[in-house]
Amino acid sequence: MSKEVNILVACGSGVATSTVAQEKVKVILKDAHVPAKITKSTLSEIPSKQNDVDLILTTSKYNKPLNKPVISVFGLISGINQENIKKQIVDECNKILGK
Amino acid sequence: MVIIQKILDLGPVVMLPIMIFLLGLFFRMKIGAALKAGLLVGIGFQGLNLVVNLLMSSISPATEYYKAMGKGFTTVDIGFAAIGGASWGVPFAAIAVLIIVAINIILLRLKVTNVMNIDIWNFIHFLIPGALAYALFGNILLGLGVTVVFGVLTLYAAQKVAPRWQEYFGLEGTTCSTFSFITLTYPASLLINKIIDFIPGLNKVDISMDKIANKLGFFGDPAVVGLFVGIFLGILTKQPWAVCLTMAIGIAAVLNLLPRMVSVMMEGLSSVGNSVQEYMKRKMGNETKLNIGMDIALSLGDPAVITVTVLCIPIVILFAFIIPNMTYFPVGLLGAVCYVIPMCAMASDGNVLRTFISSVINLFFVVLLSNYFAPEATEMMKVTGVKVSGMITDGHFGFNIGNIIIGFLSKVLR
Repeated sequence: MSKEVNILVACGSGVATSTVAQEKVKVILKDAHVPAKITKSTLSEIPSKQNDVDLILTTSKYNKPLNKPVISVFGLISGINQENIKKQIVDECNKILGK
Repeated sequence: MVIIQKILDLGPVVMLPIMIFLLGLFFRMKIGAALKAGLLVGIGFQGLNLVVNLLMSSISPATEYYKAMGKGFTTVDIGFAAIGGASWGVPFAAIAVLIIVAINIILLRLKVTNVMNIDIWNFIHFLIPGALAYALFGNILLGLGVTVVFGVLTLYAAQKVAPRWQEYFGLEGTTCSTFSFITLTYPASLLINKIIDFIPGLNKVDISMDKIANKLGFFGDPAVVGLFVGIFLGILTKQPWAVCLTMAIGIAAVLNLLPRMVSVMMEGLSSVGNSVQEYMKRKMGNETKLNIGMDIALSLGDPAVITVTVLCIPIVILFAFIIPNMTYFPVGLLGAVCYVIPMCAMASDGNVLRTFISSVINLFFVVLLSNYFAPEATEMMKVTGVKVSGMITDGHFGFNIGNIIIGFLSKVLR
């Protein structure tokens, strides 16, 4: 059981879209009372960064196999299907926290 | 009136937060949230200034060397983050956003378009040509007009590419509204593919370039690229070892830190963007079939795109040495290469060889034109409040058709 969830938010460029996603994820986690630490990266950095985190959120489709759970949060940016994605994120985080 | 003039004179570092704050309030943000948004945008802008200065000073041993020689890499490629951030510093930025959003809503209501463009950061694709027109022709209304025209044109182009974008990248309910790439790179790549269709042999073939891409994998990390570029430029310009290393760390720092400054600006802009989205939804009522305009960065997960991007980085560096009269070394462009590729991949239907050919041809012209329009680019910076020393340029002057048109008009008319 961990005290806080380590989350990696990855986007293509690590510049604009990952920031939008990060901000939305912060609000989601705060509302769900999930303590978390969020770092950002580019998609190409995921394989090297996956060992330091518990959960990976990508802003676009990512197909390479990984060791950690991955959720596509594209809907948070486009506004489509947001409720479903929020639920997925919160459920996965709670699982990691051992609740 | 004197007070307003005095505030205007303080420049974008002060004006930008105020304008974003007012913009936020207009789109019904709470005062605290609007204040925070404005502050973050201003802080990011300030940070951008700092890092651009670092780039100037890190690369100066090389540019001084070439200036003394009278030819070579005397221009600095500051990159899209700097140029884009700077474009938010023109006096008409906030008004342009308001007008473009208003027109978008009207066009949506009239069902002339089905695209809702909420990608606020990429308004830089309209603001940059607008700033360029303002700087070159001295007319602020012209600048505003240019910005608005491209802001509206992108809706048309985004609607055209929507079906293909959704089909190829699987990003339902969205389209790409990143102006430069949908209006120039995509049609150009379609044309290149048509030409390849006519070449016997080539038209049937695709090859897997994964193995080569894996060997070149380290080109994917900007800091590492910066390190090599710095040392390379240092050796090329005969600097002492100490200077080479300083240049290397400096450029690596810039390539790592510049996107982070944009990130800070984005924290502010994205909360305004959310309010714009909510506002547009309210004005639209319950609309069914909408395509949300998105940043091209969302397509960067595509395997063909990743492979070809890695291959193109060393090729862009090669261009610096084979294009005649090249005045800059493509430091900033290396960070933007990845954005040119997705439209090439989409036009080539994922065929890696065709994507590669199309990307190389597109990038060749990007490098050529941003070199040609370096003087115009440098003039543009003057109206944005970001100080640079000497000549600069950026990829936007090679891939943004707005800049290309205005640049040519300027060269002919002035």
